[in-house]
Parts: sequence; C-alpha cells; structure tokens
Amino acid sequence: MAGNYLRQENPGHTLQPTALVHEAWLRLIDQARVDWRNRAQFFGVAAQMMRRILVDHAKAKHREKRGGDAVKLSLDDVINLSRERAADLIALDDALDELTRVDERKSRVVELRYFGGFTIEEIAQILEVSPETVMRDWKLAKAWLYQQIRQEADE
Amino acid sequence: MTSERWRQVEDLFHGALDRASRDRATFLDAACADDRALRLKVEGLLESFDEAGDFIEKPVLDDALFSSAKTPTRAESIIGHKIGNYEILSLIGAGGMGEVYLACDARLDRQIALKLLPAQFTADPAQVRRFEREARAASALNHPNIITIHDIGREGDTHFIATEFVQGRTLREIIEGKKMESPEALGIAAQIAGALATAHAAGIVHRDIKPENVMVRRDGLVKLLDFGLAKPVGEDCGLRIDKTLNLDFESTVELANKSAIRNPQSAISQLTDPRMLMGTLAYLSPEQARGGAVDHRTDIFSLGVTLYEMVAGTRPFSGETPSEALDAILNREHGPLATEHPELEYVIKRSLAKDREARYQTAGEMQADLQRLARELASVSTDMTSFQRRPQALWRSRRAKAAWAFAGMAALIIIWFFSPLRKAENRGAPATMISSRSTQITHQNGAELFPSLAPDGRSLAYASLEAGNWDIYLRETGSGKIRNLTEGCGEDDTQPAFSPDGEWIAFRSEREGGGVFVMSATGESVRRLTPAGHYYHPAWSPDGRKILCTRENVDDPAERTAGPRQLWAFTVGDGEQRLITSDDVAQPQWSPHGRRIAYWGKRQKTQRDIWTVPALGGEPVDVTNDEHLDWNPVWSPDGRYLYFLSDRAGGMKLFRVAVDEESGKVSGEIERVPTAEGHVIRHLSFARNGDLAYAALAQRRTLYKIAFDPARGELAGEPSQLGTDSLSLDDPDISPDGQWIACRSLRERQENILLLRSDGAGEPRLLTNDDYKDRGPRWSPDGRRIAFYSNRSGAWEIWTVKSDGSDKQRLTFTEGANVYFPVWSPDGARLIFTRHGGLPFVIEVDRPLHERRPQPLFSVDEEETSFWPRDWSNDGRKLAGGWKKGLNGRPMAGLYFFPSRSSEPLDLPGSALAWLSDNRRLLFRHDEKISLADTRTQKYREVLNSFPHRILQAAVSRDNRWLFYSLEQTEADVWLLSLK
Repeated sequence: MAGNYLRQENPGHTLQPTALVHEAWLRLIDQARVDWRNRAQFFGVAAQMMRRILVDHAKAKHREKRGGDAVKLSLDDVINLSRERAADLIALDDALDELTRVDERKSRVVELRYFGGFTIEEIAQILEVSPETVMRDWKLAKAWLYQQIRQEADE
Repeated sequence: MTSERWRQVEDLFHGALDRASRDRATFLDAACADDRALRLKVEGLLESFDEAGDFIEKPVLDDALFSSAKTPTRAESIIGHKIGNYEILSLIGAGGMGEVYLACDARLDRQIALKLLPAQFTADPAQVRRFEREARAASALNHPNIITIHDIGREGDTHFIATEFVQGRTLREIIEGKKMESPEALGIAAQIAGALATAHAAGIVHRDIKPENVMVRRDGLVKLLDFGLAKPVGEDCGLRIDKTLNLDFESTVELANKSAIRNPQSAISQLTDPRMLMGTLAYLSPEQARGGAVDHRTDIFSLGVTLYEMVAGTRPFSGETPSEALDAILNREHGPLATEHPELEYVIKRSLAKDREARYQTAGEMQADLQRLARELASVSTDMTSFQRRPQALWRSRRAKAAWAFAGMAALIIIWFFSPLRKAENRGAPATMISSRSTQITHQNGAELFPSLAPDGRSLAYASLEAGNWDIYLRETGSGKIRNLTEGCGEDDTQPAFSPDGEWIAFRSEREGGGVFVMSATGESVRRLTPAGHYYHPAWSPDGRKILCTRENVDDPAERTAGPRQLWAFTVGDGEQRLITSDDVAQPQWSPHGRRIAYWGKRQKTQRDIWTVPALGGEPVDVTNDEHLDWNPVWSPDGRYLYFLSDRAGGMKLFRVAVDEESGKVSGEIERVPTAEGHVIRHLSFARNGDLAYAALAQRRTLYKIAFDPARGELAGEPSQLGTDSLSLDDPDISPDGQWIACRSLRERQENILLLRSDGAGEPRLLTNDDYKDRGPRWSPDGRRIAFYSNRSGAWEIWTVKSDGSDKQRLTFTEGANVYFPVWSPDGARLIFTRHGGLPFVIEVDRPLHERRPQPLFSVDEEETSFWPRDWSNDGRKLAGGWKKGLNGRPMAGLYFFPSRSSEPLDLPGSALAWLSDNRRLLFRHDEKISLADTRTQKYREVLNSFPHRILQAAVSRDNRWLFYSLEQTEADVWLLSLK
C-alpha cells in the first residue's frame, strides 16, 4: 500500500534543504542588522550559518540520553545524524575554532568549502585571492585539522 | 605559535609537498637546520596530510554524514504505486512545498499531475492549511489559463492535489538566455493577465508571478501554476521578522524553496546556494519587498517584470546581493528597453510603477492593452504613423475581437515554429550514401530471420518457421544445401550465432525452460550454457571463450519498453557467469579485437541510441544521440565501422559510422548503406571477409473475403483477395447493402479510411487522405455515413463522413479524453464509443450538437469493469466485445445487456467480433484464428485459420453469407550484401 511506504521511508534529499534553509534564514534575518555590502560577506555568513545550524543540531543529538526516549529535534526528519557522526562534527567545529586563532583565512576556506559547498574557484573569488592560494590553504588546513582532531581523541 | 613561526611552517609544508617524497627529507634537512621543533611540526603535518585521505573533501551535505543514500527517496519508492485513485508514473519536479508527479487517474484513464505534501509536514497543521489553501484558491477559479484542479485529498498521511497535466515548457525554459519576439511575448502576457483578472475578481492574489510559474503548452496556451502563496485579499499576510531586511519572511523562504527545481538530486546545492535565493527576489513588487500589505496590484507588477524579461532578455531589477536587488526594486528605475515600440514600453513602464496607484488598476485593463498591442504588432504594416500617435489616444479606441484572434494566431504560429516538436521533423535528411550490392539468398516460404554468417562466409545459419515451429537451418553458400539443425526439437530455436572459429553455434531455445544453448555447427552436442529462463541474443567474444547474453528478448525496437536489463558474460568452458552491466542494454556485440562491446538502449523516454563500452568495464560512450531510433549495432570485421539499423531516413534502413575501436569515439559521418528496396531490415551479421547478411522483412496486410454457411457455421468456399498487393489494408466493415467495404489503409505512417467494392471491381477510393490517423470505420445502418475515430483534433475523437468522402463531422468533444471504436445501433439513431480504459458511452447521433450528452453504459458502482463493445446485436438488446474485470484482470470476451444495464464475461478465450443475425451466435478471435461461439451454450468451434499468417479482424455481411477478414503476412528473407 502506498500509504505504508510513505510512513516508513526517510524523506529524501529533496526535503532536506527546506528545513535547513528555513533555519538558515531564521538566523540570517536575526542578524539582518548587518548590512551586506559585498558578496563575500554575504556568502561567508551563509556558510557560517550552515555550520552553526549543523553543529548545534549535532550537539543536541549528542546530548540525547543513550537508550532513552529521544527528544524529536526539528531537523531529525531531515538529517540522519548518528551520535558518532555528531561527535565527529563537534570535534571538527572545535578544531576549526582553534584554527581560526592560528590562521583565520584558512579556517574560512574550510568553512566555505565544507559547510558552504563552494568550489575552489568560487572561494577564490569570495576571498579575493588566487585559486592556487585557496588550494594551498586548503591542504594545510586539512592536515592541521586532521592532526588536531586526532590529538584531541587520543587525549 | 607566533605568526612568523606559522609562516615558516606553512612555507616548509608546501615546499615539501611540492617535492617528491624521497626528496622531502633532504629538503627539510636543509631548511630546518638545527630547529628540531620546527621540523617535527612540519613532519607531523605532512604525515597527517598523507593520512587524512578524503577527510572533509566532500562538502558536508554530500557527505555520508547524512546517510540518505541507501534509503530510497520517496520518489523512487512511490513510483508505480497508487495514491487514492491515482497511479504514480514518474517524478516531474520538486520544490519546497513537495514533489510533483505524473500520475494516471485510474477511473478516467487520463494523465494528471499529482502534487504531494511531504509526510512530515502533515504533523504541522499550519503547513497543511497552507497546502489546502493553495488548492482552494486555484480550484475556485475557472479559466482556461489557470491550471485546473481536479481533486484534493489524502491517503494515510499524505496530502495531495491532483491537477491537470500540462505538456509544454515553463516560460523560464522558453526565455532561457534569449529574447522573445514581441507578439509572442505579448500573447503570453495577455493570457496571464486574463488569468489574473479572473483570480482577482474572485478576491485572490497570486503573489508569485514569475516565469517558473507559467507553463506554455505546445499549442501556445498558457497555464498559470502554483497558487501556493496565493492568499485571499484581506487575510493576515504573515509578517514576521522583517526589520532591516524588510521581507515577509514566510514568503521569502517559500520563494526560495519554490524556485524551479527540476532535478531533485541537485536540489541541495541549488537551495543552499544563496544565489538561487536572489533569483526569486527579482519578481517581488515594491510593497512585497517592503513587507507591507499587498493587494492584487502586486501581481500586475510581477507580470510587468516577467514581460520585461521576455522582451529584453534580462531582468529589470537586479543586484549582486539581496539588498542590492531589493534596493533596485524599491528605488531604481528599470533598465531601458531596446524596442522600437513605444507602446510596449508604455505598458511595461506602467505596470512597473513603484507607486501602485500609478499602475494598471486592474488586470483586465492591462490585458486589453496587451491584446491591442499584440494585434498592432502582428498586423503586417509598414505604416509607421500608427506609432506616432500618442499612447493615450491609442488605448481608448475600440477594435473588433476577430483581430485579436489573428494576433493570437500569429503568436501561436511563432511558438509552434520554435517548438521542439517541429525541430525534430526538420531533421532526418538522409546521410551520405555508399554503393553496395545485395542478393537474396533464402527463398523459403514464410519468414527467415536472424541470419548468422559463419566466419569463413561459407555457410549461413538462420531461423525459419517452415517446419511449424522455429528451427535453426544451415545453408551452405556454395551448394545451396539446406539442413534443419534443430529438427528433433519441437520447441522454438532462434537467434543462432556462429563462434569465431566456426565450429559452434550458440542459440536461444525454448526447450527445457528456455535459455541459451550451444551446439556444434553440425547440430550435434547440444548443451545448455545459461540457467533456465530469460537469456537471449548470444554474442561471442573474439577469442571464442565467452558469450554475452541479455535478459530480454527484443523483437520490435519500437515496442520495447526498456528499463535496466542486465548483460551477462558466460564462460563457454565452465559456464561461469559475470554481470557486465545493469544499464539498459540490448543486442550486445563484441568488437573484433575484443576491446569494446557495442549495444543499444534507451535514453530518456523515447530515444533509442547506440553506445559502446570497454569490454573490461567502464563508461559507455555515445555513438548516436538523437531522437531517431537506432538499434542492432554490429562491428565490421576490421573493427573500423559500426553498422546499425535506424529509422532516420524513414522505414528501417542500414547505416554505418566510423568508430575507433579503442576509445569508442565516432570519427566520421553516418552513412547510408543501400539494401533491398522496400523492406524493413532486421538482424545483421558479418562474416570475416566483409560479407554482411541481413533479414529483410515485408509485412503486408491484406483483405480477403470468403463464403460462409451460417446454418452450418462453416466456410463455404475459397478465400479471394480484395484490393491489390500494393495496398496494405485491415479492419474491414461491410456496407448494409453488401456492396462496399470500408477499411483502413496503411501507408508509411499514414492511416486513412478506404472504400472498396466487395466484388473487387473498380478502383478503391480514399475517404480520408492526410497525415492524421483514422481508424475503425463502421457503416451507418442506412449506408449513408461511415463513423470512425481519428486524432485529427489533437486527441482521439469520433467522426463521421459521407460515403462519398464529403462532410466530415466531429461527433464527440471529450476534451482530450481519447475515445475509440464507434458502434452503431441497429436503427442508426445512436452510437456507442469507448473511452480509453474500457469505459463505453452512448450518444444520440441526430440530436443537435449542444443537446448531445454521452451517457455511460455502466453505473459508477461498476468501477472495476472495463468493456470495449465491438458489435450491437440487430435486435438492439445487447452488445458483444472485450471485457475485463479490475486493472489486472484477464481480458476476455463479454456481453452487455441494455435492459438490465449489466454485463457478463463469456467463457471464451478471445475477444468478440461480430454477431450473427440470430442474435445468439457470434464470431470471435483468438490465437490469430476466427471461431464461432454460441453465447447460450458457450460452446465454440474454429472456423477460419491461416497459419502461419495472423488474422487481425473479421466482419460478416448482413445476410451472414460472406466473411471478410484481414491478414498480416510476413515475408522475410535473408540477403547478402557486399560493398563495392
């Protein structure tokens, strides 16, 4: 019966963006007092928003009691995030914060690429540097983050 | 770490990465000198880099973090199922408020668009209310330019709206990248304005007018879609946070989410792309941008924006960021229009006035101006004085309505000119021809198909029906001796394929559960290669060790409903099998040096093209990619060409194209290879010396008459042919006086109604003669008219024509429901026809047009029964025809009784054709034979059989002394082709 199918399936990709953009815009508009004069700022903020939403959701997920009744989170229907992956995401977020302290531009590159989904060329335009620079930033940032996360895990 | 240190680390890191790994150590030695800490730091990072692999390489939303990849999307799992009365066929598009599917209304058997509200929103009453509000808004409106809402409902947790399915393109697709001609743009805008006028009159404001929400049908009719944001005027407009950004939040999110997204899989990147957001802001009116209250005049503004974009090719208000875009809408003038028509500028300017008091106050006003302007521009006029009149004066004058029709025609013609449908017909110029010579080499009766030449060219294997079932014959080219290799087996054996060394023949057999078998070239040592079941089309690898098989039998490529069909390779020695691909693959052929496999398959819904794929696996490479049907690819023995069959020059002919065997790249033009004239070509096979064998089919349909003895229920003479061999005829019906036969004449792609004298004298006469298809002719009982069904109005409807060919009249106006099979009542006052899916209706023929109302034969409770009436008994009390219960019931013969309005199946294995005048016995057809049945006893007896030919239809004269029937005869022979 078609009805049963609909109840059991996880909704597909098409439905994710709705809730995500919904959330993103909620926050963006909260910050609407900022007057975006340039594209870079706008896109940078968008990627940042995406990161915030996902990490917040991951943290909420992580806090759920093991085995207990999971509180239904608004994004649960949309993002299939296991507790383990939630932990990964939180670790990445912390590491990114650390990276910002060391080298802000590299952190922004990661944010734009991983959370914003922009390509190297697009990031180059947004940050107004050459694509080669973006690539180099990316490689070092990736190595640094990987190292950082592994160290945290070992401790 | 100090920033200077960090710079050092960075430089060293990249310096090391730029070098080969074995040089890194020396590089670092030199660069770091004694600074061990620095070196450790850099080495640690290098090591991490190497280990990191694809860590964070994919953006988070594409990452396995969100593991929806394994669970099927709702779209994939719902197709084929039913929601309410609607069977889901395919996904058309997706947006924020849900997905839209193409579905079939099972009761009415028509296509509709079904919009589903996402399941999890069902829990949110606000979303459900919004969904229902959309449906209510649009369904309250009745206008040809507004999409018709058929139904709204829910099945379990799923809410749906069923609307008409519009075949055409969105305005967005039409204007993508280019400007439109003014008359066309004006025609479309005027239709939108008309739709708006109706909506506004009903108190509904659309609020989301933009090219993505406008569909243009192939005939130029505009349909306004997506009343998802529409609100009745006066309702709370949902202002939320707006402050500095000044947007109605709700509509902004919905605007973003409702952008035209045709491919759900790319929805993620599109929607999280803020640039997509800005695309939808461009159509907001100033009052919407300000977040204030809106009224119907906001639609007029958005229509103005759309019209501007149609005419100029760019948007009137744009910016790099949302702020800029909104600023442009609020404060800046739109870009100048490069048009020689000041009136057009006036219309646009007025609709884009920032102050809504200065705009057109009603959509009707704007529509009137648009229509007048369209007329002006469409009329052939070099008189420039009309453009010098002041705009005000022009709009005040009145013109006749007929002139608008003319302008509308001009717009329609322009749209038709550019439509993809027409482009397809323009192509098809035949490719370059090369010279060749063909000789016929088999001359048996009936069909010889599936030729396979032995590699040395000295013998030919093929399949023939001559012995009563399909067998594989071997013919020696030199001596001409023929042998039946599978004589002993009573089951069908087809599709022989010679091994590269000429010792073996692989073939498809129906014996022992079916499958592909291998036998020696002498017909001995038959053994099974594949498991029992559906394995077909064996194709040998050049080294003779493997055989490719498909899971599907392909007979007529046009009828093949393709889907992923697997391709398997079987090792001849041990029968080990390996799956090569699950793409849509038919008739695979290994290239001569074993590099690639060529095959044909389906691309999108209607294309059939040829591909090659590396034999070891890899990406398929196109050989053809067009709307022509291309199939049956075979490699030439030197591997330089792919020969294939195609309908690109009409019919089904042989072509070749140069292809590189390594890469699969096409390196030349498609060339036509001449073959036996007038035939349909199938089944190609090469010998190593370059000879090509092919089967040439000639399928003819012919009419015969034969005397019948109704008392005995037997034939009473020999058949004689009606018409000549040059005519392809079927579906005969005899005139009441027995003098004439009306039938269908088939020629190339034409189908026309033809009249013949039943004694065979005189010339046949075409009653219709055009590209429209006309079928199912039936004489009226007074012999003056012939009823038939035809697609000349764009859908299948019932028509009548006088027996001299004049006065074609359309009888039914079902608005696209598709009706067939007219059947006259014995007194000629009524006519029965059947709607697609087996829903019969009766109509009074002599009533004036506006009083005719088709009456269904079945009441609504009998939803499940399908009935296709074929003949009305001459006592007027019953019908005989095809009968089926339920969607998946077995098709049977059945009767319908007028007095009780009931139907029942007959226990007969076929479909009923014609009553005898005793109203008790009838003729029916099954298994290509005609039998006579007694409806009371349900006993039956075979009357007419023309094996191996197929009997298609039969009719009986009024006095029951003559039977007329149509036969399909297939002649197929194998020919040998050599290139000169």
